[in-house]
Amino acid sequence: MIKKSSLSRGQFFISLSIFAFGVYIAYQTRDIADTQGYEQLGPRLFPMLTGLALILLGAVLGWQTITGDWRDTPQEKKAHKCPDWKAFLIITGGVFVQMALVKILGFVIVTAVLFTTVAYAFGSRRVLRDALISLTLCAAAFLLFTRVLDLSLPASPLGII
Amino acid sequence: METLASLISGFAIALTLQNLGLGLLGVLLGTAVGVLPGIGPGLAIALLLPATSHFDATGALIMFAGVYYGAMYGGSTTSILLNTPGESASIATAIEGNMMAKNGRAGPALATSAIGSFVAGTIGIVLLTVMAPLVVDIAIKFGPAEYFAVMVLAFITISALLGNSRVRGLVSLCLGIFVGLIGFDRQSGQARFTFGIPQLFDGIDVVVVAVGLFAVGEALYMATYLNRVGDNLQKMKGSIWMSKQDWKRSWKPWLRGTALGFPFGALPAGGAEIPTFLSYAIEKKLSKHPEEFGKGAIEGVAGPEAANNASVTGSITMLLTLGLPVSVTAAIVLVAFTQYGLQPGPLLFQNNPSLVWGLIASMYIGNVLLLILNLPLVGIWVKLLRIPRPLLYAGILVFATLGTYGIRNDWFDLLLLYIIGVVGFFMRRYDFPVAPTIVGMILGPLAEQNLRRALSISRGDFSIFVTKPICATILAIIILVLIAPPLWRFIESRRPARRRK
Repeated sequence: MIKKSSLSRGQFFISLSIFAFGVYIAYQTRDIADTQGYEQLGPRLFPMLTGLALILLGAVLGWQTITGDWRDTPQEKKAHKCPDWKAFLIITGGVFVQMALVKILGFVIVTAVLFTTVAYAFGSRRVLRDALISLTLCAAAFLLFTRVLDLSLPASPLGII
Repeated sequence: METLASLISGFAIALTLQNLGLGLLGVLLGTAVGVLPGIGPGLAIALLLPATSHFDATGALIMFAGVYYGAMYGGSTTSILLNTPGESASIATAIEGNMMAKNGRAGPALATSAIGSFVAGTIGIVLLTVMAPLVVDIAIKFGPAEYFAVMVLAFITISALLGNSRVRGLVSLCLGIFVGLIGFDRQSGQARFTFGIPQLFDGIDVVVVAVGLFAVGEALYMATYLNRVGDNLQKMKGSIWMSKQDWKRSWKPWLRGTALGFPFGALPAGGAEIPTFLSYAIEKKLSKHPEEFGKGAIEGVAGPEAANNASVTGSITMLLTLGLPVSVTAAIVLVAFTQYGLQPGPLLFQNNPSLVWGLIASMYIGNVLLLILNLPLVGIWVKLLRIPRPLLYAGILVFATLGTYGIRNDWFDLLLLYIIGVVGFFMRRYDFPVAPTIVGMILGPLAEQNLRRALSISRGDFSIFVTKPICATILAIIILVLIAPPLWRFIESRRPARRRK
């Protein structure tokens, strides 16, 4: 079930990022003021340990990449060969539109846009149907949240929902 | 006897109209998220947390428990009919269950898993009822040093025992601990890793992390890599009922699965994955029809499903009595407790018996409800599997952002959600387990707090961890867990070498 994989740039990059992140955490730990009062251990110990552990683990992973000991389940290997980055970017776009406009346009409209974009990214081409479903769903969720559960969400400029 | 009286008073609470309704809602929601691929009980409860912040604590927790074990029932339906197990605990069920469905025996497969889940769940709750007061008696003696040792044990077992790679499990754990560090330190009041951003002063909400990793990360991964792979839904053919032969072959695996699931669920070993695979292996060995395994043997469905459900009650036992979450879902239920200002553990049994026993009683009722809901209504649940994938994932993202934005109406949380989602995407792509991140984030601060308290008590003397008997035992287990697997592999690797000579 588990196979050795050959040297991969992606795996090497991941190992390097983990190593660098560990260095960063350990370095940043200096910025935490240490309070040596009645306490024996200050607030620095855990961050320092976490940083050092990530440095070590990143190094081990990097070594595993070089020696080919990084084991993956090959189940989804084939799918990994043809990534659909367009879908990734479309979803990202949807999320950022929501983030930027939720205060101005209200929750229902921007989230309906997000729904339609994600459905499009997953290959649905019936945009009108998706938009209708999403508006109904988001309006229902909005009413449930604000009227029944007593929580607040920004309404659209038109009021009500 | 005292336990029985407590349980009866618990039933009085669980059977009120409001709590019964919330319990029913919980198991319905749980079954639905269990059936739907891409959503698990942990994500569902995380999404419900902001929505239920105004609820009464007992009712909300009864609902969350319903979601937890309801999802275990629902998950088996998906693995049998679709062969895409929603969570690792259902993989063993999927092997034989899907083969049975291909042979036109989907009905008996679903029936044996539902009845097996009921049997295991009920026995599990009886064990929980009997054991909880006993564990509480021990747990009440736990001090900070013991709690710290148990938490380190949970860290190690969850990240080192599960998944393909111990290194990647530990990376995931460290990432979780790092996220848990962000914000003001609870003891010294020092800001840590807040980068001067006011939204980070209180730390990152668990909801954002869980939803980001499970919903956003999963959606990005599916869209990028797996969207072109088609699903293969098996039809429900023939009778749903089991034949006499099926019953005969099922009841022993149910009981054996329960016997495996409960203790393993209670151990800090990451929940149901290990006992379900063990149960599968044991049933294969004990079966009178070993040739049927791999082609749809009913024992291979009955055993693992029972183990799966029994492990849920096992981990709930640990959560209630020790306050120690041993699986992702239990960790998120722990967050739910703290949302209502409650701390699970031995003191909860003393200070809030009506809540604890009401919750336990509700689990008896929930299991009966699930049996009724699952067997005759399985046709309705199967319809959920017909939701087209684009709409399913679009819906998941809508609820993910709703739950996140609903916490405090801040766009910054949506940005965090996306960033964590991208991290989750890479973790999924490079096969890092996500569970240790969640557990690390929740247990990390608690472990730190207990370590510092323990050392304050001992005035900085580290020998406190070896001189206390319970503590020393747990530390010995940790060392064993770390050393045993590589040692075992070393011995294994030498054996064939000798034979070749």
